[in-house]
Amino acid sequence: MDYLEINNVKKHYDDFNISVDFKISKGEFFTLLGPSGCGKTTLLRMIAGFIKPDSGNLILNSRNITNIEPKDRNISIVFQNFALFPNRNVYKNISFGPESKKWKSERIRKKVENLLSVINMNKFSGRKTDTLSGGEKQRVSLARAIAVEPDIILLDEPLSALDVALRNSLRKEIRDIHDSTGLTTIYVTHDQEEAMTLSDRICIMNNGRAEQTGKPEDLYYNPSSLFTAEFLGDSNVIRFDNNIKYGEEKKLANMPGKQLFFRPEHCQVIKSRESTEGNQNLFEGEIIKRSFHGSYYRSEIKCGNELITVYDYYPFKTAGSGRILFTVEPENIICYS
Amino acid sequence: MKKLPAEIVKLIPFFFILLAFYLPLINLFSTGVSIAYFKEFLSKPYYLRIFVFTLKQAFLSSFFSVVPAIAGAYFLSHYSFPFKKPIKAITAVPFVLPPILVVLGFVLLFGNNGLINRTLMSIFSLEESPLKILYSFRAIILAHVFFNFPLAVRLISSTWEKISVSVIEAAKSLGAGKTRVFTQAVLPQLLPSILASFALIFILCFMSFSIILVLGGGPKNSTVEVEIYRLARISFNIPGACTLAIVQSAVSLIFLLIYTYFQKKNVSAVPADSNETLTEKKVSKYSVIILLIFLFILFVLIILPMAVIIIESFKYKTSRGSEIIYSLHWYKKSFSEIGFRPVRNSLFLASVNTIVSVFMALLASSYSSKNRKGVQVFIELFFTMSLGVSSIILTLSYIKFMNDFSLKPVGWIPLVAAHTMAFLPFVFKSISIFYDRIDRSIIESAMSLGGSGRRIFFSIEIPMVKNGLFTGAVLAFALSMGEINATLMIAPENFITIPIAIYRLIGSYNFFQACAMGTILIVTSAVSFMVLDRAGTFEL
Repeated sequence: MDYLEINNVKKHYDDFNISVDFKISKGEFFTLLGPSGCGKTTLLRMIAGFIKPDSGNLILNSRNITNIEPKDRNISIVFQNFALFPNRNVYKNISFGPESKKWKSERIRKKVENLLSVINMNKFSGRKTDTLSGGEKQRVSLARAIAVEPDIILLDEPLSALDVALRNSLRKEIRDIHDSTGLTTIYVTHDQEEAMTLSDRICIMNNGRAEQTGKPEDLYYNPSSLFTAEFLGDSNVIRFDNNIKYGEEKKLANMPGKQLFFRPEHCQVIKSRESTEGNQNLFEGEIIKRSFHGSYYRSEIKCGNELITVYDYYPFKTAGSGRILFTVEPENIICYS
Repeated sequence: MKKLPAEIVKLIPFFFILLAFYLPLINLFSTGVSIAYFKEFLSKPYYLRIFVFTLKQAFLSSFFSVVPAIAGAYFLSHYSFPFKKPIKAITAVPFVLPPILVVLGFVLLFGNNGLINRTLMSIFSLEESPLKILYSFRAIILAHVFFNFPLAVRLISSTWEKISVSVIEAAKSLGAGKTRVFTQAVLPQLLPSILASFALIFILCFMSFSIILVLGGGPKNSTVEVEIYRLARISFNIPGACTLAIVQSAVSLIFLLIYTYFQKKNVSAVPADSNETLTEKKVSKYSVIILLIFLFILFVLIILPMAVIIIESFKYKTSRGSEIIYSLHWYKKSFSEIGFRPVRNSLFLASVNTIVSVFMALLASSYSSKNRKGVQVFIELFFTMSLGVSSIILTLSYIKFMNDFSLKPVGWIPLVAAHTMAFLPFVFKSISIFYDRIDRSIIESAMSLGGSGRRIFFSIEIPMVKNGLFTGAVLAFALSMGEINATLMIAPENFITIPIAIYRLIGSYNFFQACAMGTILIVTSAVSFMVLDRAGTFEL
């Protein structure tokens, strides 16, 4: 059942418009992914209630919340810069929400202590927030947002201010907390890896619109638009060529200007010309650049006028330079008009 | 009792300012001016001369304050030397020091019978005092420089400390010589702050009152501000005073705009919180001489006049020709003659002013912080506009407003309003600086956690701006304690404050008793100053 409905929500700015329509289920981990300036944070702020949409409405659990004040929505938010209250210690930060909601003091104490142990910070209860590291601050911020038992928790690029190692471990913690609490989560990020590893579903946003919404795997392998295709992961987009066979007949529209898309990992490098028999879509080209990425080599191949990226997995078949042959299966090629 | 709706509470400061500032001034400017008076003003060489004189003294005072201050600022920002911290702190003293004390200090120091003349006379066995400084153009400039040189040093050096070192290093690495580095890398970053200081000091000197009134020595050295006071309070020529008020307000508003323009440029020219800091040089042999001169000037201008006031207040001769003894005679005499009234009145006025200003400024900056940038700029302008209107003009507008609408002044209420309007811009700025630092996401977090407006205000905002509240409160108190302009204009009869008492005692050449009152004021100013300095939150 739909838990949060974003029905035809529109917001107009002088140089930018937002127009979105999608639904989120209860308990879902839903991510808004897109380049900076695509409107994902603005949309998040509309859900939180800090920005009023010009038209459309927001339905949360069958209740229209479009005109409800942020404090009465029961939707909490975690910011990139942590936004901890500097005048309150760790305990007092977490207890702010429950106090606002006038819970009984015993219930507040239990809640805060429980959350402190969830984030593994029992010993930090009385600490001032400015003595915490970035990762600790974000854990407190997370606990603070969960403490009010919100209907939805919003996370606005919560890991962007942290270093890579910390980001990876906290990413796991965020998903674990989601799984254990079952909280409906809306996550905003511009980091595709973060989005794909964390989310049940992703909404790719572009220029104020929802470009495509779906499971990470669907978006990656069946992008409905060139934007999604190119935004997620490494990609090859080349000019339409009659000799290339492609998989999805339904997308066929025989017109000029069509483009063909495939992933670098779908390029199979062929050792010698003799073994090419029966292969469709055979490409030949010159290696221009080659870099090592651990489990694979990433090579840029010049084929005629096109530049194609190819991943070569162990056992490696490409050398440092020279000409190579590779094929791409038709079902791995998508044609866009 | 039913609680006032939050929406109405938020608007209280706006109503207050409309009532205490804009309404009387609009009334003054719209009904107080007639073409006839403008013609008279233009046709009388007397007024034209006063106008030119006012501009001239303001320009020269600003020039002599700012130009040497550039050298002082260079030292303060580039060198490390003993007692640097207290010296730096002292540059803020004139800001909280009442002008009437400066006047008194100058009379005692530079007067014909002052400390400097007496010393010179005894060293060179002279019959007559060699330096004739007081009651002249020089005295005005000197006193203005006293006030504003330290201010300029402070403003310029605080920018100089923060200018981007990497730009200078980049210029050097690209082969720029010393002159080119200065003109191309340093000056562009520094110039806005120099010009902003100049404009600010120009406004302050243009509207200066008690220094001109006492040290100027009569009509030949009169300024527009003093003339407005004379017309309103001595000749009771309100239309004439209004005409001059318009002329003065126009000029000071222009300079206020210039100041705001350069101040904005200054803020954007220098990185706000750069991690790069100038490496402080040790003082070399030659620079030590310049440094000593700088310290000597600071000493003569700031410490000495105050020290003389304190010392004089304890001196007493039982009869002419007898030995000087040190006693509490003048204090006892002051209290037995005029009683505790001036002290009580000053404390009362300052306390009420503090409460009202902090309350208004807090509500206003809280309200402002929740608006868009454009609206914030408008609110700031709305609340700081009174910087461009002297308190003489403001109180003149009160007098006229009450005359026009036949209102009876209710005791000290107009006086408190005038004090509040005079110092509200400083209090507002002290608090809004802290509001600016509150990240919007902190407030939004609190909202999303169910915090009501009232709860967020009391348990998040106030704790986060408390240092600003404190600074604002101390500033309002200190400035109000020393205020004399508005008090001279509209204080109820027999409402004598400490500065008024000093003014009257100077007028009757009763310097010792003036010193006793002055010492009390020095103590309150010094305590305020030390508290501000200790809190470290005072920013100009």
